[in-house]
Amino acid sequence: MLELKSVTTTRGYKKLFEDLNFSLEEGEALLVNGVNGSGKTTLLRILCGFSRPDAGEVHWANKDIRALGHDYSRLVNYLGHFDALKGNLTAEENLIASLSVMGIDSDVATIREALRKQDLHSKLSVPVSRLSAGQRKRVALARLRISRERPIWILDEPFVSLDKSSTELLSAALSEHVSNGGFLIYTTHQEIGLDVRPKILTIN
Amino acid sequence: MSSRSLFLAVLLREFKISLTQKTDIATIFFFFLIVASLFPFAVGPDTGSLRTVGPGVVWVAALLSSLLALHRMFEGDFIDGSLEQFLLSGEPLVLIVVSKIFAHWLFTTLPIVILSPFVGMQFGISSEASWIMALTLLIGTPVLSLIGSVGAALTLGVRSGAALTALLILPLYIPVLIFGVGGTVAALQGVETTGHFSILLAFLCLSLALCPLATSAALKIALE
Repeated sequence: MLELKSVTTTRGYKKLFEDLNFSLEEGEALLVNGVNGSGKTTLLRILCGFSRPDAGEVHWANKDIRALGHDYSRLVNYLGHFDALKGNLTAEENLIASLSVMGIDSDVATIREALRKQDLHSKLSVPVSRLSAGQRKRVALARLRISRERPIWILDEPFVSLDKSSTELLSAALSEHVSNGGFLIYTTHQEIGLDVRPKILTIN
Repeated sequence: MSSRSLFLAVLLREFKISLTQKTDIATIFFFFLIVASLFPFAVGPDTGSLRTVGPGVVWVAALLSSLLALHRMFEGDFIDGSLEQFLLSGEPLVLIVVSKIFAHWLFTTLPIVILSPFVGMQFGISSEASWIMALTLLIGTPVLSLIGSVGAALTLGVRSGAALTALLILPLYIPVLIFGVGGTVAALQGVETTGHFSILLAFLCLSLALCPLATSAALKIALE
């Protein structure tokens, strides 16, 4: 169970959110809503353990994630505004490099298969910097697919710049993850239908 | 994952990235050559005075080239979000940092160390003393990279970070410079150099133990 316990965060003198609470069980999704600049990304970064809230704690299985440290972070898949891809490397080289550092076993066949599923098989030898924004996003989503065993998915605007068929592919993958008992926390400004109805958290 | 395979995975990743940035590496290499070659023009062709300033010039040129490359160490990974993924790798960040520093030294500074005896001979330094100088650089430049990594991490995301790194780091380079040049001068004068090498090795051990910890703490702060 992932819990947020009376979390308060400020940016400068402005309170982003105060005394925020929620809990998420296995197989549940949470959609974080809010206008631009309301602190959605900040909340997701707190859930990843990158940022520390001014007050309150994030608990995983009834333990503070600060105390869990690496035991928590190796359960998390995070896809933020930056895709962690090196422009000069090809999609395949990028995935090999980042997955090996993440300690996720993957061979070239798995990586090619994941890229093919994202409809990128014709772009295997192209440096990522020459791909479009949507194609880059799909490379990052291929990485997500390979590391899908990690139970907690924290996705910041994952649908941005995807075309219609990729959007459907992603929402199917998210639905599958949740129905397999995974945790999903995401933000989006688009109308996306998941098979599971997400809980909704609105930040003002 | 074992520490060794993580170390190698990061090293391989850095190697691949370096291969795509060959011009950056060549720039550093030629910067070293040009800075070192400027001095004979300034000092004049007198062999005696060239031999006197030679060890200092080569060391300062190597130090400045290493400084020139510092900002590359974490900036790319910071901007494109790779550092965030490192934090989520579930592996100790400090080990990733050590591997990155080693890779950085290997691909930007080691070529300079290898070239240094030949530049030394250009200053009329005997070949024996030139090899001693290369050895002081071989031990001393990793210390520069280790200390520099702290500065590079502290100034991530700061405007004109590269200049700020230089201001923060250069004073800390002084002890390494003194004993590096001192060792070479001692070799030129035919004096025992063991003391200089012991102190350089002590610097290396100390910075290897402390700097990666400080650097990974600074990286975590940069990501908050």
